[in-house]
Amino acid sequence: MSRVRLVAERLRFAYEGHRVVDDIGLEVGGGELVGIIGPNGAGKSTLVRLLAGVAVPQEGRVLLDGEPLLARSRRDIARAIALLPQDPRVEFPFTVLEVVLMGRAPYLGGLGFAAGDDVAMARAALVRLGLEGMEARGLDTLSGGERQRVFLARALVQDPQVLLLDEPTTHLDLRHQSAILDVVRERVRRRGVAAVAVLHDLNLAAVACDRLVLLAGGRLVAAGAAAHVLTTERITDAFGTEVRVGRHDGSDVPTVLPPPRDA
Amino acid sequence: MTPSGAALVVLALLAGCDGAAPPPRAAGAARVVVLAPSATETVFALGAGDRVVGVCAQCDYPEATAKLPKLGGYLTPSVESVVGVRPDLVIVVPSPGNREAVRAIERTGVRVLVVQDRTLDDLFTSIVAISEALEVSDAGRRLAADVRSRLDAVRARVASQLRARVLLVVGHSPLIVAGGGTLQGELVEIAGGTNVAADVGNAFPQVSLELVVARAPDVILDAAMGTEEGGRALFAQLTTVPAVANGRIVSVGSDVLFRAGPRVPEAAAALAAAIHPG
Amino acid sequence: MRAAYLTRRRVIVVTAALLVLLLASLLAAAGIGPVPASLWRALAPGAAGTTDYMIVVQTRIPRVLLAGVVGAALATAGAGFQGLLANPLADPHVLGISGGAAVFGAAVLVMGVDPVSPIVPLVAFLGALGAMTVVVLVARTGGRTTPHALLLVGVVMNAIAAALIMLVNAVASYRQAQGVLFWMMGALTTQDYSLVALVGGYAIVGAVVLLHHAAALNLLAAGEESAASLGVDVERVRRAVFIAAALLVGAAVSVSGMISFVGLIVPHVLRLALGPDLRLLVPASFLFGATFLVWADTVARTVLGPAELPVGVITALLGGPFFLFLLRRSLRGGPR
Repeated sequence: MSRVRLVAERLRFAYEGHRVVDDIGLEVGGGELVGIIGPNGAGKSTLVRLLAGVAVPQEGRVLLDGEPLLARSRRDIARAIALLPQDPRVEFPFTVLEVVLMGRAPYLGGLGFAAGDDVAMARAALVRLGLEGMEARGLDTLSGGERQRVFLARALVQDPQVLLLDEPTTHLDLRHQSAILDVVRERVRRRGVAAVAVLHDLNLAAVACDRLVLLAGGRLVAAGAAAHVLTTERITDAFGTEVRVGRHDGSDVPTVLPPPRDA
Repeated sequence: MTPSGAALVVLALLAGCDGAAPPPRAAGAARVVVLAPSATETVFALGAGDRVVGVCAQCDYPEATAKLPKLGGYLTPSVESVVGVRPDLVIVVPSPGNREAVRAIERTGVRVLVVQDRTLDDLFTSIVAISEALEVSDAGRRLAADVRSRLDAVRARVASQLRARVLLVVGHSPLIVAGGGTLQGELVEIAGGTNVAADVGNAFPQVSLELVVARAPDVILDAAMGTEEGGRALFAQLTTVPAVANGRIVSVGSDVLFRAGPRVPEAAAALAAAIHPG
Repeated sequence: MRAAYLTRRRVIVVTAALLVLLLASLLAAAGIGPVPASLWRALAPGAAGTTDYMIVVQTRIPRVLLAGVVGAALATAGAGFQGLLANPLADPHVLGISGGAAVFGAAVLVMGVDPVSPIVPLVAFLGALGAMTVVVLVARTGGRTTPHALLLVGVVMNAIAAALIMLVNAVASYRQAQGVLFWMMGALTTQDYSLVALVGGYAIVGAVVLLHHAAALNLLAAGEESAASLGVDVERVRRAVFIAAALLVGAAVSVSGMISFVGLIVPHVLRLALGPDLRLLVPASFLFGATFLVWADTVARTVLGPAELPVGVITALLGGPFFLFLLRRSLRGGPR
């Protein structure tokens, strides 16, 4: 991992009296993909929104390259950090290409008309995500998985240094889950992007991410290598259910499964 | 009485008011409620004012009505109040708003007399109907004759003058005028004018300013709510219209003009004075 | 199928085409009316003082122009509100502004001011401003002004306005109440070129403000979080758009009463034809809204012979059933 890009310090965020994020700190560096895991309601999405500067913490702060994130202008933040929100959708029938071009907005002035370069970037992203030929289709005609990939393309053309993904694989089948994370990892490796992904699937997280962060009840319960975080005790505590932790294909990477049916 | 036309330009198409039914003969009505200003004036003019025990809120003539209980609006009578004064006769003019109230009053067994108020014919018919219901038919005949002769007097006064082309305005914006088949249109004719909007269908049609230019009235009678200045400002630019060029835009009071009651000859006289001054 | 994305060129081409359509419509409408009058004779040199001139220049042209600017204002406001509320079936009258204008206008009419007096639109506009201020302040909770909140507060404002208007009518005389009703139904009677210029200039300013925020509104279509992460100051944009659109509606209603459906149908139909991008939709709504109301008013002026219908009746008769049709289509989950 190269230098630290994004630092969260003692973040606290409460909603209607309920502490959603409680004293969380973490660091993400360029060239690494950090996975955030935890049960529903653990505060994962809120944490990502705080990291993106889209939500404001009641206490604590986020630093981007050593500077407080919220001291920057929104446009500056948008050029540095891209967010792929959970279950994204668009209210009006914009085309695939139009949605991807929205990612160029932080770089466009005036009325925001895209130039040739912007369009080329957008098209390249569509190709990379297996969506070529669909650029003129209305977003509302796509499947959930295809939509997800369009929004990832949008995040990529933002040319960010930090990539924040909130459950990017939820609607995708196995093939596309792998493909998406491959694309993210490629960005991370090739361009030194710092990436954070909230993942539901513990095993996918174990395989794809360099480090894991386990949240439960708004608190950071464990952080580090997958083998360190994904222990039977920790998972059982955090998720409130029995699991069996094994090893993936003889490697160090843990696998987590519910107990066998007839055990 | 009613500025019904203005009211019913739109609503009349939907309303389909009931016609007047001949009044049932019965013993002389001693307690009478009158729910329309025009009919109230007629009852008092027939000398039966002492029998009136309640009127509508807008019934303000003659002065004696000031002391009478007000039983709701002309359009929205209060059924309870009406029934509460124990009338044996209720006189109404139909409108879309009071149909339910009238039915409710009928259901309580009180005799209801319905009269119309749209035209001069309606006026004379209603005088007859009311006088018969009150058993003062002689007074009714005298009243009708009196109204007729006073109208004839107005006709006579202007008979020697050239008929003027007249537009009677009842609303400024939108521009609404008195069409043919209205009481007001008839009064214009009696007062020595030709209603230039007589052929423009409907009782009180909305028209465009260009129609005023095309019809080029000699006199514009302004009976609209609003101000004199407003009326003048409205037509000020239309200098090819004789009424505008010659400063013949005349405000006419609208109280009596919109009541088909016994004071109609006064309205006719006022119009005549406006159309043919001097 | 339309192009994959919106280019500057397309905006220019479509806008120019709609502008030509509008100019042609203005010209045609100036030549149509219940009274035969020749446009050419009226505009010929030395025609001043003839009835043709009087009719065309003094009565028709100002009216047609007023219909144009009011239609432009309403349709542009509609496009803005539909973008703001993320709802293609939003109507600008729904946000309570029109109610505020109507109440104040009605009150002033009942107090005896002539409907032709410039005091009426002025006071009505103040009412619109007041209503807008109340809606903005009340809908803003926790520093956020959500579409949901705007809608709810607007509906309540309209209900209050309707009740107040009933109160005004109840205490007014019968004929005054009728006058109020007619004023509210929409009247484009005017000979005042300066009024037309005022409303027109106003409409252009409002449209420019909306266009300025059009790209941000496009981004908002993907949700608050997406827009914020793309650099949009969501709260500021929402408030600016709401205020600009509210002022457009306020100006239109103050001058011409409640003309319904223009603000709903025009942007909605244009969106179906041109796509949802507001950078095209705003100028297109402006120009086509003007054209639409010019023709609706022309129909209102001529369909009943010498008498005319209130223009609001025509837009309601055209717009109402069409709106039902659109609603059914959208409920069936049809194509948008």
